[in-house]
Amino acid sequence: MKTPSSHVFILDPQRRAKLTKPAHLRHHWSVVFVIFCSVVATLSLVVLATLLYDIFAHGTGHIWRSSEGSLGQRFSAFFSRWSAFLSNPPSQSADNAGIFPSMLGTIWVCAVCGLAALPLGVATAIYLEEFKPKRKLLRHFHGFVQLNITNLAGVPSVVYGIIGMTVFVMMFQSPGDVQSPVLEFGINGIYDQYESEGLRMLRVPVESRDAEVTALQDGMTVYDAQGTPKELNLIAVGERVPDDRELRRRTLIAIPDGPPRSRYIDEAWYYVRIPFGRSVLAGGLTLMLVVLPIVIISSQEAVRAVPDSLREAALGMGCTRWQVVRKVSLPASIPGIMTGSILAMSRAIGEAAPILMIAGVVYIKSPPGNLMDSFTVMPLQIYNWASDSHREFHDLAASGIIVLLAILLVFNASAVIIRQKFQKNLG
Amino acid sequence: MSKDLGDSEKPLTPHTVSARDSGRAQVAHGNGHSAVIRQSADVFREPLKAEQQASTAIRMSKLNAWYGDFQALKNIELCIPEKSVTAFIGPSGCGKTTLLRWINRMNDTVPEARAGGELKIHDLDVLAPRTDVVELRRRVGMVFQKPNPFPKSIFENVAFGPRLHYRASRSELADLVEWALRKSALWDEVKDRLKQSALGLSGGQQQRLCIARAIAVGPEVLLMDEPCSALDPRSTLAVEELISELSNEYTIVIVTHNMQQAARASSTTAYLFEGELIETGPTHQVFTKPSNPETEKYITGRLG
Repeated sequence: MKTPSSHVFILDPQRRAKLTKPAHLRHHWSVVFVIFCSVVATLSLVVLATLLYDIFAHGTGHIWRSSEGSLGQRFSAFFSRWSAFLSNPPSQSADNAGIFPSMLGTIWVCAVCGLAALPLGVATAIYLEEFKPKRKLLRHFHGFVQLNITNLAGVPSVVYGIIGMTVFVMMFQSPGDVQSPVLEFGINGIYDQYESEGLRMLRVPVESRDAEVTALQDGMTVYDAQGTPKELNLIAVGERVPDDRELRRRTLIAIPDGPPRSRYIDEAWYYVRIPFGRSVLAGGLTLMLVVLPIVIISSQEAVRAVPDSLREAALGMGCTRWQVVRKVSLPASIPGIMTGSILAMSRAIGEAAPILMIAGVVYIKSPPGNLMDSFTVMPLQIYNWASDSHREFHDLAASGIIVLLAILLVFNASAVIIRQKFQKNLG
Repeated sequence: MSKDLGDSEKPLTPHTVSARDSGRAQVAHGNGHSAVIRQSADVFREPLKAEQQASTAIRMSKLNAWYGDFQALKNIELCIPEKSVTAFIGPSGCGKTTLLRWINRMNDTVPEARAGGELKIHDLDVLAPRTDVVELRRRVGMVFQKPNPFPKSIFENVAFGPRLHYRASRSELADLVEWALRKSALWDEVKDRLKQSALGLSGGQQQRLCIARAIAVGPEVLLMDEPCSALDPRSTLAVEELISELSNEYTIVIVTHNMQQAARASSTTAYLFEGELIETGPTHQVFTKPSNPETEKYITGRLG
């Protein structure tokens, strides 16, 4: 044992007192940092609050201001305008315009995106986490996939729009286009469509997309827009149009070169074609590309969080690797996978750039009827309104944002609920 | 362990093979709890060869194991007797857990691990690439250091293994779960809450549940990797008592850091040091008059 005033200062009272840091200074810094953190946190909250206030003021204010009468009347006008906004198609007049087709479009596209991204993402995550290969070559492949997925998570979504355009919309410049697809499935019938003297659609069936026009004959069977057969009443040019409304609705004038017509394709709800064209399916799959890396990475985190002791227990009981996944890892990681996937989906809902490339700027007045229908989504609709030259449409954009935020909130809330409900202590 | 169960337990190990029985194994059927287990036991117990000692369950010879370039086991020559407790002792990193985990090929999951030499459970060549590890692990149950019940109900935990390997009816399964829980001395404590999560049990109960889960598939060998190191003394005692109960019917191999435990619970002890098997023999002999000075040093606490 050496003397207390040895080479270690901690044992020498004098040197120790000299070297001791002043305690009050440390406490000061601690307080300063706490204040700094609080200010920064408050700042971000203020930004969010300002944003929300602005949107709500614009999005609801114009509806409230336009309503008149007593308070009760104003309320009922307010709600009827909101329900019209939710159920109307977009329109030239800001008073009638609604968000319905793009809302449905968003739901369709996100459903396709979710149905495609979830199985692919979870399966990839399971491969990367649970089936780590032992052989060297396969290990390299495994590492390569992992590296790429990590990188893909950082790729801007416009780039995915370009990929989606090439792969899904045009299918690598494959022969055929939307008008004459290489392959299609689910066509109920092909018709020539005429407008009758009673302003009704009359449809004359034809053989194929590029078949000759079927010559019109008096008394032949044609179909109306609902598909019910009608007897055609063909009259010569100059002949008097009948007065009877029912008869007039199925009356056509036999113009020598044929009356104006268009080809109408009656598509079933399960109609698919190749190439996909600017369709819901192409849009959904493109969004899948955007969210896939996020789904994979969050699912990987969830699978990795399952303790290895559980895997060992299952292996020790005689589980195959797949049984370990099926019976232990997957059930235990479902809450995490669901949370991550729902958050990824809320990103998909808000994406505008890739959808803009796929769907284009088009006027859509009805929601998609099948996977090959053209579509638009809420962010695009909001963008269109916001870039309109009329001020009233800017308010509409704000209303659209409220709807979008509400849907996002529902999604995030369900993520939280799922996490709370299914989260188990894994021991 | 309730005493009145003594009779009903016998059918579980229907094969009573004496050392001199050079012919085929005799199979005594009884009115046992679970037909499935009895059936499986018939399958794996091959007729013993005359030159083989019936009392040896696991035979290792020239067993070497590596992790990458590091040799973890060196020329292990060891016979583990049937239906008794064999303890592996030795300082940390001596290879005892590695040795244990090769018996049911759990080391397959370790990327760089490989083993050579001979390791046989009766006639089954464990290390042969053709050996089906799923079937191997049904025959060789394992209990881990930390209790690791699945985040499922108590019933589901015990029924997990049988569901993997057998097509048992619901009632057969219920009988089997009760039997396994009784056997692991847990039934009285959990019979009213079989549907509750196994994670609500105490550590000692969880470990006994893991033992019940392991024996529910009807193994012949039970491997235990420091089964009591995460338990308090009372739970340790309960598990040790359970081990000695089970040793009448199962070949138990236990890795332990606890000298008292090895002395109390095992009948054979193997001392490993730096991957080599230094000494093996009956426990009382190894502990009272070890033939190797290294062993003595370790046991008396002067090493490791």
